[in-house]
Amino acid sequence: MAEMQKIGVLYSNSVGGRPLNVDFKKLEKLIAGDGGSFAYYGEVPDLLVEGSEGRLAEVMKSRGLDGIVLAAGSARTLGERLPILAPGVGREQVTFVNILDHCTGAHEDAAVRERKACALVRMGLARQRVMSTIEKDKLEVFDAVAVVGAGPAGLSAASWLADRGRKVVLLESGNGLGGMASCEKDVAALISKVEASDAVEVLKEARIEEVRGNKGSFTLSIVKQGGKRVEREVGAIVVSTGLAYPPGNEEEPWISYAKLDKRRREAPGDLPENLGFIADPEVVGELVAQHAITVATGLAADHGKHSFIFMGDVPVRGESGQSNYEAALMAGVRFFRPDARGVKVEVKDAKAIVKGLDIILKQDFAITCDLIVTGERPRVSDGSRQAAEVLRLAVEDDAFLQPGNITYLPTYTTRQGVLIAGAAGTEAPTPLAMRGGRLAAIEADAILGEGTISIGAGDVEIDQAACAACLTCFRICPVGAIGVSVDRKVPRISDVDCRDCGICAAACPQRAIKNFLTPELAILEMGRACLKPAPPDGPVVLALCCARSGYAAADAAGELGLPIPENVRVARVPCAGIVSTNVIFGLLNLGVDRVMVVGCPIDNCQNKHGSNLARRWVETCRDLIANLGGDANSVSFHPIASNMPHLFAQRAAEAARRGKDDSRRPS
Amino acid sequence: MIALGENSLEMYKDVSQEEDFKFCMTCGICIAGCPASRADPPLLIRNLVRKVILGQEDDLLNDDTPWTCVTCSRCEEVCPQDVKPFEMGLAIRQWQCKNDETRLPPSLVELYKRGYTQAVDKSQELRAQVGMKDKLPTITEYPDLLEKYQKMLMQIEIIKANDYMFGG
Repeated sequence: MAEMQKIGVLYSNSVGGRPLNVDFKKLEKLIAGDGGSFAYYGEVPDLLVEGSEGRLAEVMKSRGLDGIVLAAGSARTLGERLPILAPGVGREQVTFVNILDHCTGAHEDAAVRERKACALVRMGLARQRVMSTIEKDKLEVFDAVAVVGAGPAGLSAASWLADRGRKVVLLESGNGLGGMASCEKDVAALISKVEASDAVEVLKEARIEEVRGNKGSFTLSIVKQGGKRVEREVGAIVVSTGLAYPPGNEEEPWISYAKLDKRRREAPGDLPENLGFIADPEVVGELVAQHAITVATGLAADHGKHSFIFMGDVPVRGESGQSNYEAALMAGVRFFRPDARGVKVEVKDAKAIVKGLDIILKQDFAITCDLIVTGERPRVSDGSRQAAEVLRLAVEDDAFLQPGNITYLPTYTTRQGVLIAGAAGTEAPTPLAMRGGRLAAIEADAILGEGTISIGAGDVEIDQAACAACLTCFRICPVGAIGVSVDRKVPRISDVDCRDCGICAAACPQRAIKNFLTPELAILEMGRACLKPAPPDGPVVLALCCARSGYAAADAAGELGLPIPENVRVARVPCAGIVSTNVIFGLLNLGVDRVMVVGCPIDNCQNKHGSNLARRWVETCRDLIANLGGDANSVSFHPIASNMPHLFAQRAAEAARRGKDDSRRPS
Repeated sequence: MIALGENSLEMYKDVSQEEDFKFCMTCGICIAGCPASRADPPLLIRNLVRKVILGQEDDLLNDDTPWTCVTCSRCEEVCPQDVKPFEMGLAIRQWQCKNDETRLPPSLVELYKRGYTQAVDKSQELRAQVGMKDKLPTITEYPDLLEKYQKMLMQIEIIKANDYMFGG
């Protein structure tokens, strides 16, 4: 270990309005008394909420901390959003300790709660100490960001980055900026801002031909207007290529959205009085339905038109769905919900009569409209398809589109340094697309950082000197991220595909794979830390839980207030498959009485065979222990899905109870 | 048939100055909790609100169901959109009277004939089954009292003026 690492414990007394009911002041003395060393201990509420982006980095900088243990709520909800809410803070720099669920939720007795909290914080400190000592390389980073596609998402990303003083290369395949939303007020403001900015280089009618390099140092070959080629060096790439709409029926009274937008922009007064929008989300897709509502609202509110929307189900999903719907109702847009047969349109004297059955009043309706606005199902734009190809990202027919992705913004790609924003990634109406662009920009800004990038934990690499080229890693990698270089016959890990599960590192007989999250040493240190303070009776049980399934189940068990024995201490590992026989015997050797390995259900493992691997390792351990005359039950494997908190509580109780009186350790 | 006439999209302004009802998303929770939704014909407050929004003037004018409301205001409590369906029902009653001077609420006739407005005959069988008196002890069961009550009602101007409707 080189120099002393400075690690801080930050805690919060309440998470999302739920009090933690743990006396943290007392806890500090307990941890300090146990010989744990840390640099800073303090309460910082609301660190990882939207609107406080960057505060965590500030705290770390002002206190000179190398790592942080965050004693508050669930690592699932906070950890997934770490790159957005705390730009500049690496995943390896933060350890989450879920006091809220594992202590406050699971235990009513204050003394028990505090003992458990103390043990969990010590475990967090132990892990963080290991993570902070992993050596990091510093690499130079190009100080520019490429934004591909100048729709609302791309524009808002470019303008945010320009405000931060970053150089931006904005590529647009078409001739004008703004994409489909060019006539909306907010977007028009962005266009003029971006065009006036010195920091943004706008390349129209341009496309990327080739991308070389990695996160922090990409080199783009761009084909400009007139076939001229240029090269640009950027640190991160934001892909906001949007969606495409095929043209609709163009004969009046039929009109397409594009044509209506044009007429509305040029002479809103000339538009006729009554406008009908046929936009059943089942038929035209949710995005068109959302778009119809927005356009109808604008026409009714700004220009006093009568808008009628015919749709079976109103799409109110997502953050803007409900508010858009309410804005439409307020503006006086009339919704008609036809039955399953839909609507029929009769054209008479250049006017359309829309007929159908209103399912609420159980009456036929016949509404006369001067114009009928239709759209067709959006499809992936050529730009998205081409970008996926150029960036060497494996995508299917829908390119980056992930309908229903409302949880994570922006959509993540497997290639580091490439961010997807807006409608290219998830069907998003304009405000949501702009927000997605902004979030992608925040992340891109964090990648550029201060001009250097630290390659450390989470950037897995193979120590070529130690590698015996047995190719166990090549065979075991669940996502095929490991290839063998032809000339030198050694394996290489592609950072495009690697998912950081760590299975290869656990399986490597030479221990040659370094720098993955929560390595063996960290688990062993957590095992050492979990022994203190010792529970009043019974064995110490260390539950090593897969971050995706078992840990989520443990969180949920605490949230539901299910009784979890005090002696069960929960630790988070990226995949159950990394708990190898080495780790298990190491833990037993340190004095942990029982080890529970909790993974995904065998046939539903995120890392394909991670769970199966864990089961086999546990079985090997049990056989060996039984042969040596020990208690085979001290090691156990439990496939528990994230929605099975009751099963987790039951298994935890069993593990804590079993053999309470015949402790394995010789006294 | 729902067809939009010339002024129908502005009609809602006559009925109510408040604009809360515009937020109605026709979920029907107001009907689910409404005791009068089991009357015959049923009071469907959601449909009344929709008729106002679509300006179905003729339809609304001849609708007697707003008068079945027992003013329990349960719909108001459960409405997720704060549409205030209860107040809307009362506003429709006012609007009907304002636009049709000869209009007599049908419940007034019921009140005169029976002494109460809501038909509660539906529960008679059930009451008998559990060993209760099958008829509710309403004023109808006491003819002399009902007669007194009718005499009293007859002194009200609107009933006196339309006494032919009350068997007078």
